[in-house]
Amino acid sequence: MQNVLLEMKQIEKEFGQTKVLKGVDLRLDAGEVLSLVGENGAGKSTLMNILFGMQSIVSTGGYGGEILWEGQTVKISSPAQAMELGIGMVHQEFMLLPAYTVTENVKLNREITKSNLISRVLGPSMGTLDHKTMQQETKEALDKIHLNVKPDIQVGSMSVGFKQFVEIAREIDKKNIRLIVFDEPTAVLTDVESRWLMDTIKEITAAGVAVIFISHKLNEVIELSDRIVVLRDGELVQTLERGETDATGLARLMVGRNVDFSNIEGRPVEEIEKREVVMEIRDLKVSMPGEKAKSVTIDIHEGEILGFCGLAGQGKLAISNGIAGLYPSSGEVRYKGETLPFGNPLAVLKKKIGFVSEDRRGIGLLLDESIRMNICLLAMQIRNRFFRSFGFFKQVDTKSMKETADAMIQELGIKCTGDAQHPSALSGGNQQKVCIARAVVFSPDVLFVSEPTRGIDIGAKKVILDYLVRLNREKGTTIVMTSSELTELRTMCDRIAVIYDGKVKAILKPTDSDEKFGLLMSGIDA
Amino acid sequence: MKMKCRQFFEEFGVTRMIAVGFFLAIAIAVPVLHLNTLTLYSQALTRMAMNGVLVLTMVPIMVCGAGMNFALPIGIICGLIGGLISMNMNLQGFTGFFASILFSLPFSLVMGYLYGLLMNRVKGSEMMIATYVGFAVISAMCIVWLFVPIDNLVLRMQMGRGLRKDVVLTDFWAGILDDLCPVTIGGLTIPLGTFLFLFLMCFLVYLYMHSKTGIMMRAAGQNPGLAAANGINVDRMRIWGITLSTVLGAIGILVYAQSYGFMQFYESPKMMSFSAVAAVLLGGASNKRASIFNVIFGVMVFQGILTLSMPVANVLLPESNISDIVRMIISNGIILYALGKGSGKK
Amino acid sequence: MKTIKQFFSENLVVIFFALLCLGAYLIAGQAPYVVVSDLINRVMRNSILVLALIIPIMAGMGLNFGIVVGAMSAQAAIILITHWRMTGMAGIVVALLVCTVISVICGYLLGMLFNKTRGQEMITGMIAGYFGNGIYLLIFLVLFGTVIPFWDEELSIRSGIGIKDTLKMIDGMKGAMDNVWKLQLSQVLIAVFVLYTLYMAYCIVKRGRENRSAVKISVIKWLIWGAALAAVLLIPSVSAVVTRCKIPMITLFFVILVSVLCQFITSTKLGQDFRSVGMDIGIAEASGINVNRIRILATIFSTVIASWGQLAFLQNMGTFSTYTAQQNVGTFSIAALLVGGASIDKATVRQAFIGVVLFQLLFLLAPSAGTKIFNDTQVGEYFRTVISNGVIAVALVLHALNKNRKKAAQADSI
Repeated sequence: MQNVLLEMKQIEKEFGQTKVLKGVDLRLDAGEVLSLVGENGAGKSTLMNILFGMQSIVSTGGYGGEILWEGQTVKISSPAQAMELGIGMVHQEFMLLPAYTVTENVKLNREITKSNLISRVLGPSMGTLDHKTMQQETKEALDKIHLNVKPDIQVGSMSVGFKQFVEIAREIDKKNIRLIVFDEPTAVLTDVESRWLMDTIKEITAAGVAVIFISHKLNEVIELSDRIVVLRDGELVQTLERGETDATGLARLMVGRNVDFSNIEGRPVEEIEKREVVMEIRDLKVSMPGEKAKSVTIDIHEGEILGFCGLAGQGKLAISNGIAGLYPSSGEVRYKGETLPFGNPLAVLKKKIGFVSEDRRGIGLLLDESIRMNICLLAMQIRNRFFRSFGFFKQVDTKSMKETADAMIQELGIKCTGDAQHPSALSGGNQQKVCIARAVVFSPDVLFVSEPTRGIDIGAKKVILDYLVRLNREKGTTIVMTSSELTELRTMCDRIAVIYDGKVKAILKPTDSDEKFGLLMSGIDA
Repeated sequence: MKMKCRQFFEEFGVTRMIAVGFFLAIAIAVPVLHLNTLTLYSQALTRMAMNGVLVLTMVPIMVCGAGMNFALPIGIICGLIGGLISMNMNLQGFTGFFASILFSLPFSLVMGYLYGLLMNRVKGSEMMIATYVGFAVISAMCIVWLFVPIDNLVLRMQMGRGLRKDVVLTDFWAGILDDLCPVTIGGLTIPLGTFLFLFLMCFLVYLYMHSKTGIMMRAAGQNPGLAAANGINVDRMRIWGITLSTVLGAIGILVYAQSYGFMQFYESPKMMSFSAVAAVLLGGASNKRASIFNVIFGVMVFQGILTLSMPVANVLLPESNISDIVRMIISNGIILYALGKGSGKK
Repeated sequence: MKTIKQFFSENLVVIFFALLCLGAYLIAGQAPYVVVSDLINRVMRNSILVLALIIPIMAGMGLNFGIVVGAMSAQAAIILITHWRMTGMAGIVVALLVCTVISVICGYLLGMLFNKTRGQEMITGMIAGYFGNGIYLLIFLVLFGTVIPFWDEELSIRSGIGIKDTLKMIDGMKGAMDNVWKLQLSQVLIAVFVLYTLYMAYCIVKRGRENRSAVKISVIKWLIWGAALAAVLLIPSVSAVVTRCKIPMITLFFVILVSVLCQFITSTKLGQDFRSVGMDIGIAEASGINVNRIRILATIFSTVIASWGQLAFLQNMGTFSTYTAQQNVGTFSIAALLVGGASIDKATVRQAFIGVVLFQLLFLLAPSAGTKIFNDTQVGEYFRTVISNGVIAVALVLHALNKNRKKAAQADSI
């Protein structure tokens, strides 16, 4: 019997109706590296949030299943409790205060104090800070990971890579640390820094601390892990021991869904590519936070359905957002021979290019207006529809709005009490339908749709996807769809572009193999 | 049904319910305590009418997303300037009143525009900045009033220089709307003229809010991100809303003054915004939503309480100055409630 | 050269107001003794109120307009001790205890309110001040003598309901703290210099051997200060002023005590928590700090210090208007702090003192300067309100601009 540190048994979690974890098991020994791999939305973050007792889990009804820590059943209900057990986390976004020094950050909320007259009366929180000891201990922690910086410099002035290591130093500095979770640590690092990080992780584990490593870089995962847990759609696909597989095998496990795409009936790519080019995208750069597009070049053909796939953070979402004018962009986009201006949504919309944003609750809906208004707004703004003229001023024409809205509600099967209801009370799927209805009422020639099925139930998913296909086939609308769900892209798209590191990695046919998709999405040439 | 009731009460809010209940209680108490019911009710109606336009200023500015208009003093100052110019020219009656509105327009348009520009640069902290910009403008104007050149000696302070603190409007256009066509029903006097003017203003604002600009303004106020993505110029919409609110503020103070009988300069407009904000909130508005109904209902309840609580309290607790206390507690209580609710949603 | 430029750009606000004060002084032409003694008086009674603002700023809650609530607690305490006929230091001590208790409760409630309106603390504080004012009026004007049995020959309104609107403290309470022990300004200056000398000697003995140049610099500093003090004492026109002006020592100690307390808190674990919460609530929360508790604590500290401040202020005045004395406390204290060069996210004890001195100097000079220029006393009065409201408005605008610019820069850099 080995020294089992952590065991998670049959972990389940649902947010509202959707089940995001469906009975996941994992086991971790002291001093071991366990990697979690899976597509976005596979449930990795949720699993780690459960382990860390995050508020987002606790406040939504907790989790199902059992967590064993050193053989004891524990119910982790707050980050503080997780820290007490000896679980640390190196976050993807830095949890560092830029105006503080390295020492102050490493010792955040674990400050060492000296007692004084007042603290003896009023308790330890009035104790004076012992800068000297804090400095010294920080130095020791920094030395452990070979980070050669002075403990008294401000963190804000450091490079991204160094910040990452300060985070690690903070975890190392905790005396009782037993397990550190690394959430995509190498995403922001240079190659040299990644190398250094991998060595550091090896050293940490050699000292007996266990590591959970979350990464999309399959080569790193293969090199580092003693054990790899593959998640897909909230389910445990397989647990692999070291040396059991290579990057290709891993990619297949991540992406594959046992659906045979090799003989789906689609339109032949050759024929699509012969059609007229409606939009030429050349060297498009979009600075969307967390989803940067670095140099995207692709042609969009008349009447096709083009898909953008890729992992989160690689920039697939930035393309449509950039073209729609929502984020600062550069490069060139020509639509029907004319250059599209950047940062000017109105000009783009006037050219009949529509956009359904992935940020449904953020910029997709007016939650306190009627469904009717939500559906008609864009057509009112761009095409001046739904107004009645009274001499020299115009007033809203509620009657024609109602007719149009009712028609859309019928067509998309939006479940609501009527067109006057506010969308805040609708389910995610019905909200999404309202967003799509708005873009359709404005009757665009080209429609960009981002993540149309994220977080919605299966019924609504099918309605939306079928509707988009029908729109394409019947009205000839060119559709560009960005999605994290490869399966749905492969069922409806004519061509699929894989976006990696802000660029088009390859353009594939829906019928190409699982491995090919998986490897390309992980940035490995197939 | 039970759920719906509860939801309705939650929406309506405890503070608001207390206020409405309080209003009903004192409205009933007036006849019960054998006070001069008809006179008091008439007074209450007059105060509702005279404050109406000032409260109406909240509609465009809240709808366009710039929050409660704590900078109402800016609009008020523009109205005072307009009134001052017209009185300085010794214009009387309707000419004087409408000239005042006309003269105030260029000021309120320019000030509203500038104020809108400022608000666009300080998104997220509008309310606090509006309050103190309002205070600062008022105190700066105090100095201006001291030095403003005046030809009409009635306006000048008896001793020394500068404008009077309160100018009596009897010789100009006091009660010009109130007395336009007062309706008396069995001793209850309704200042129909002022009400008609208020309704006219409400109707114009209603039309505006249902035009394309109005709709887009609503979208911009509710969800700036969505508005931008749909090709709406959010900043411009906000400037429209703020300017409209400032113009209405200028008209509002003139309506107020004709009914009140005085034009008050110097520091008196300082706290007016709080009452107006409180009234619209009482009427059911929230940070980003305000309708004509909220205005009418709110001003009715709020001014009703203020007018009627004083005599009622005097019967129960002689010689106490409860009206002011009630105003302070209710108006600030409802604003705090709205602030808490507004932040809670995020 | 660069450091001089930097000095100017960093202290722009202070320099501007210093020049304004100098100008006002020259125009006003008041006797130096009058100015200095009045200034001492004003600084002594206003400093603590300004110090009350520092902790909430540290905790990222901005300018605490809610100190008005603390001020009202102090007024309530004074009403009570006047009713109990307590005088002298005993009265002061009891008043301190009573107002501390009331302000802890008020501060707790205010803190809870701030937690409900995160990000809107300033406007909440201001409105809470007005709301509190209403409650205060309700208690002392309506409930006293009706619901709460109360009758006091001196305090009650004739009808028996409520407290009179001007509260005159009984004999022996006016200046109870101030009058216990007074020293000449010159003596205080000499005493301060002696302490400074001792401190420097201690530093040299303890660390001097390692660092020669540091010793040299501190000796030069000592010489400069010594020369300045000698000049003050020896130049007849100046020394006449300095020996005539009296400093209320107990009040001075109280002010020093509160500033040491503020300074002390910054160096404790609690102070570090205040700062962490102030910088980023999300990160503070993730690192296990109980953010809501820390913010409530900050508000309580601020409210309590404010109540002490108002107590010091009122005992100096002796008479105050029961229902309006607190109204301007917030605006004036905040304006003073900002004049001292503080901003909405950073303030130090030093800035508080510089601010109080400059702001009060401007306050006492403005009316007579205004009269000299415009032949009108009111101009100066209005000028004071323009300055206080204007300073706050400008500071708020600059802060918002800065915040929005930072946000944009952050979005760009990711």
